[in-house]
Order: sequence, then C-alpha cells, then structure tokens
Amino acid sequence: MMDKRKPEMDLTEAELDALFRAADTEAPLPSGDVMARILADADALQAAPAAAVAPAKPQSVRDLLGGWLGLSGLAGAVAAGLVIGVLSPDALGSYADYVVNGGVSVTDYLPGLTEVSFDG
Amino acid sequence: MALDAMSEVSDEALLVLYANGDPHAARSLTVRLAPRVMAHAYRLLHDRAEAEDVTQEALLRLWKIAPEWRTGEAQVTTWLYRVTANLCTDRLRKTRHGDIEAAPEVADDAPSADQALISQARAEALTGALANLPDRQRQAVVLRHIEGLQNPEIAEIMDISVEAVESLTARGKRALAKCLGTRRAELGFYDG
Repeated sequence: MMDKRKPEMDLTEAELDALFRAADTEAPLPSGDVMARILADADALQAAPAAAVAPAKPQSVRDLLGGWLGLSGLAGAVAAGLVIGVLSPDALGSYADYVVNGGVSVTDYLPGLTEVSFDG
Repeated sequence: MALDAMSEVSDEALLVLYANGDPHAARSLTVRLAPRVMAHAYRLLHDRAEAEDVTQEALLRLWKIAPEWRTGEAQVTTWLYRVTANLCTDRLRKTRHGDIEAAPEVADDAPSADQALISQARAEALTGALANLPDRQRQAVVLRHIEGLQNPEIAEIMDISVEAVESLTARGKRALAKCLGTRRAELGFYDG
C-alpha cells in the first residue's frame, strides 16, 4: 500500500528519534584550545587553594589579637597592669591605710548623711 | 594517582581529589565532562563559540566549588547540567532579540544519498528547530531525548516535578514534529 503521508505532515516518533540520534552523533567536541583553557583554570585555582575557603590568614596585629573586641579588652588589661605596676606595694599599703583608718570618711562625700534618721 | 588509574574513579571522587591537590584529577574530569557540557551547551545555544565559552565557565565553577563539594548530595553531572543550562539561559536572554530565530537552513545542495551528510543535516535541522522552542521545553527535550537522561534526574536538574518534565518533553516533541514535518524530504525520510 502506498504511503499516503503528505510532506507537510508532522514527523513520526521514529523520524524524530532518528533526528535525536543524529544530534547525539553530530555533537561538536570542545576544541583543544578550550580544553587547555579549562585546565589552566583548574591549575590556577588549585595552585591557590581556596583563599576563599580556607581560614584567612591574619592580615594585621588586630586580626591576630581577635579584632577590635579582643584589642580593646587587651588595652584595658594593659592599662590596669600598668597602674598596678607603677604603684608600689608600699604606695598601695599607704592608700589602703588612708582609706581604712579614717583618712577618708563617707561624710566627706555625703555631708548630709549625719542628718539621716533611722528611727522609724 | 596516575591518569589511567582514574578511569574507574567516580566524578565525585575525582572532584575531591582535585580539591585535595591531586595533579591529575582535573585532567581526568575535563576529559570526561567537558565534551558532555559542550554538547549540551551547543544544543541549547546552537552556537559553537558560545558553547565553548559556556563549557569553560561551567568547568571553572566546578573547580571553584570543589573545596566545598558536599559528597553524596548530588551527582557532579547533574550539578553541571544545571549550571550549563543556567549559563545558556542567561546568554539566550541577552541575545533574545538577536537572530536566534534565524535557524540555519540545511544546505539545499546536500546530497541526500550520502548518509553522513544526511546525519549532519538532521542534526543541524533539529538543533535549529530546538532553538525555536521555549527554553524549558528545549532543555527538557535535549536532556531526555539526546543526552538520554531519565526523567527523575531531569526533574532534579531543572528543579521541577517528574510530571512537569513529561509535560515539557511531550509538548517539545510535538512542536518539533510539526516544525520539521515540512522538511521530511530534505531530512532523508522520503525518497521522493
């Protein structure tokens, strides 16, 4: 029996499959130049192993000491140490004695305190 | 690890080797994957130079993500198909108003008796017709019927349901069949 299909008819499944197979066969391959560029990219990225991924090296003393927060804490500790270091134990003893033995009274700072009554 | 010893190593294992500094892993992955990426990009873009650029860019992204690759979550090829399709879509959007509609015609003087030329003519005709499909239909048809992937993997690549894949491929095939039906003779399906 003659094939009565007209040329303008849609392609059949089998004909489409033939086109798909042809497309698979005829797929272009990447050129040698592209392959070389791809490998160059790979080498370049591997040579510098992920600066973005590995923990970044400290860029400054500030980073090394934990950033601004760490730095401010350290500065406070240094200042306290300096004060303690500058004041000799004798001086600290004198100061303590001065405070404890009445060199300074609360009333020196709050003169009206003597008038406060606790009666009721 | 020697290059010839890597033929049995999975893509994912090679990627981990690359991230760990293995000097041969990138070459093995490139030889294995670049042709697939190139073919897929060409089928989506219908432009060899653009497809080569996309291939390089897709592989570049693979090298970059290698140190962070989470094993067992996705196949490398699935990830690459997705990246490739996204890169192609971006390029197609930029050239949407260009000459993308002007699919090259098969040369009139192609000798239909020569099977090699018929095969080439069919491939070119199909690629030209694919260029006229909506992006998602084209991607689904290429992945299913040319790359030969299964619907669940295509669904993962395209981030849609399997049913949506089936719908896209069915509509795409109908459009191709209709579009190319008028060219049956030059595609070697009629003797005359």
